[in-house]
Amino acid sequence: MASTGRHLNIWGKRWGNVGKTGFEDTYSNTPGDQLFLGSSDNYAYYDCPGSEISFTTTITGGIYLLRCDVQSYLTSTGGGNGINYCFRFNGTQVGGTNGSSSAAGDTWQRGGHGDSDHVGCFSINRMYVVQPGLTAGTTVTANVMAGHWGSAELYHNYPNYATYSDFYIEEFAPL
Amino acid sequence: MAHNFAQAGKCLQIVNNMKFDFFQPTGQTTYAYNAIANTAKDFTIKETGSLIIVESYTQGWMGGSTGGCNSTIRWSSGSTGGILGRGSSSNGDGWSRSGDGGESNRSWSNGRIHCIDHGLTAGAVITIDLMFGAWSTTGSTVNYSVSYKSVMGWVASEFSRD
Repeated sequence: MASTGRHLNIWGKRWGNVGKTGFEDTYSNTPGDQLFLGSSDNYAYYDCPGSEISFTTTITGGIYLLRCDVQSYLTSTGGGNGINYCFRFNGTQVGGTNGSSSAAGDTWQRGGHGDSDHVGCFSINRMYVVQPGLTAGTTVTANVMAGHWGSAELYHNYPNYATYSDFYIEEFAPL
Repeated sequence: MAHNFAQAGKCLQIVNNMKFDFFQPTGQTTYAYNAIANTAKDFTIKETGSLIIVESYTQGWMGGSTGGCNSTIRWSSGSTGGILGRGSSSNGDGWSRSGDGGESNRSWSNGRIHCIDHGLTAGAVITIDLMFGAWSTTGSTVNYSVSYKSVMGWVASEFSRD
């Protein structure tokens, strides 16, 4: 990964069943900010609805740090198959590779993998750095993506609770 | 409900508070967050309406139950602020960051990112501390015992909106 120069900008996002402060006294179930992946959705990453950040680059050749804290729940179905998260940045999937491990894909071992009965929830953060060579003034959209292996079922921002996730992007000047 | 935090620019300050400690809160079956002792720290806001991003880290032990637990932060400045994550009822938080639905007697690690539009004016004093809560268990701890401590803490970065 590239080393960077000075920090320039930051864009944050919160999505899920709460509002912007995160400490409302009631949750608001928001299907548009949730994702469920069934057993047939395996070996691929899917966009997490509501996680999109759109911004305009302020420097040519900038470097971008992507970081997220995502709420996840893995059902008992699946018998210990794992999950992972990655990002889409300016139309390109980064930090995760579709496909089974035997097909040079992701190992799906960031969370849950190896529990033989049922897994439940876990804390997972991801970070990734990109240096896409964009010019200043480019409009970019980025988002978080979720995926799993095998017959597991994954909930992201579990419905009917005050679940939510945070994501931010930092822009740095090149060295 | 998705919320975009307005763009922010240069980093104004970074404040952190790290503790090597043990904590076993009471009241875990009440679905409430409990402040983790000795994790509070005050600092002064540099710029009116700036963006603060807090990263928090806790490690613990889920013992004797299949219930879940969660860690978060609280920020306060006078009468403003609150706990990021509802902790007042069974249909609130969900306590679904660590352990929920899994087996008991396993360790957990909880890293969180919290974006904050505090709306305070420059010069206001803000306090941040760690919070811990659990669902349907009395056996969850932040670190295992007084003999099994580890570092927990938070890092707050304030960014200019200019």
